[in-house]
Amino acid sequence: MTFDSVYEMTTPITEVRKQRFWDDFSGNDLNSRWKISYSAGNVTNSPHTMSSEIDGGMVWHTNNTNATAYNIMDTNSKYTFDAESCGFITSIKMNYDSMGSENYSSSIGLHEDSYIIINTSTAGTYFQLQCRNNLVGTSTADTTVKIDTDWHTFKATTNGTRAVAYVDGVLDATLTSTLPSHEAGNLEPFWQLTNNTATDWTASIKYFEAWNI
Amino acid sequence: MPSPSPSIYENLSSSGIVHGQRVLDNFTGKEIDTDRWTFFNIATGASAVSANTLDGGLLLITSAGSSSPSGYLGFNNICQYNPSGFRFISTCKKNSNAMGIRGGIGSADNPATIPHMAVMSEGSFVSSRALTTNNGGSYVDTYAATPIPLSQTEFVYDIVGTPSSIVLTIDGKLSITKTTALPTLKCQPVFYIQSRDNSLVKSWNCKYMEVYNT
Repeated sequence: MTFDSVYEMTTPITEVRKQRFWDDFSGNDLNSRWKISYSAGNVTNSPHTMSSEIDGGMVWHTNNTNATAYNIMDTNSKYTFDAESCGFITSIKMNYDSMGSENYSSSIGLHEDSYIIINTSTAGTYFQLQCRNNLVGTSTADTTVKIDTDWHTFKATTNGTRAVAYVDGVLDATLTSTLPSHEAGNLEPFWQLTNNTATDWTASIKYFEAWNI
Repeated sequence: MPSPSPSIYENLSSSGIVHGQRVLDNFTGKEIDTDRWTFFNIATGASAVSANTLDGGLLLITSAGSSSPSGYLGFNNICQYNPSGFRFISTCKKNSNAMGIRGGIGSADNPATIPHMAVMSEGSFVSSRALTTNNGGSYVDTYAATPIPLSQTEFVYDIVGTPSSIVLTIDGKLSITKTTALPTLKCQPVFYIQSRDNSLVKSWNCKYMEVYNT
């Protein structure tokens, strides 16, 4: 199987390809396309490091001293993804059981104030598809996959009326309300880690790709 | 030509599979991506820059100084690749003789004597193009049954590692297989240059690199 170009891997040459972004998280440091910000502390409290392990990707730490702190990784408010026609696919791993005493959570996807994300909530048991329209509200649908410490590939898309999430290639959750909209604002790549105890928990990422449909 | 999939990911592996670590670089832009790469100037007088020539890509270059100027481009010893399950694809264009070139994967530590590696060797290190591997001991060069001559003609090389062998293919045709001295430590991509002549600048170009765990 061959393609003449990377362009044609995702888009026929008869069409103008839409915005796309991807990162393999492989190299000596996080690519500077990403901006990291902290609700409290700084990189000293919540370091990110490229893992020097096979298939390690990037490891990100929660704040080690503040029980309510969160870290955000995004593209510095460059909202190039269409709130009503976009998707993302990512491979992440929670390195601790976030449902046990290690209370921390991850939210990854496309975000402004509105969002479409895959969420690990400390209030739930399963990975969740969550959509927010900041003019309307927030809705959540559990997948059937329990939160664990394995690598998973998550994919989610929205067409403005229906948002769907796949876990490891299986369609597993759907939402039809409170979806992001043009009125509420377009979106950017986004990953947030939040801790609920003042402890150094970690999560890993080795792939993120987003595109407009 | 096959039909496009929505994502690059799904063109490379099923979304039902968590695919292994991967990285590719086209080496085009105003400078080498230093978020990704770190250059080690082993013996004074080597550097890695973005070429300003047609199809130039990455240019590894030495000075004309003495003491065999040499250098090494890698991930600053961030080792995410599995020597027993990987594929490495890259291009090489040697621009002069009396120099040594290596490209492939290698473990951390001293870049001048990488303890575990699987690389293509071209130039003065070898008598013809070779697959060079190491498992904590000395470098072992393995040659094709019909030797692949050293030359300044650009070529693409493909190194595939499994638990039982390493195979180097040149331009999709000529292969070298090795079943001993296989690397076992986790690795990073490596590109190496060494001048073997103190009187002239030496250089080689690379315009693509892709490595992934299989």
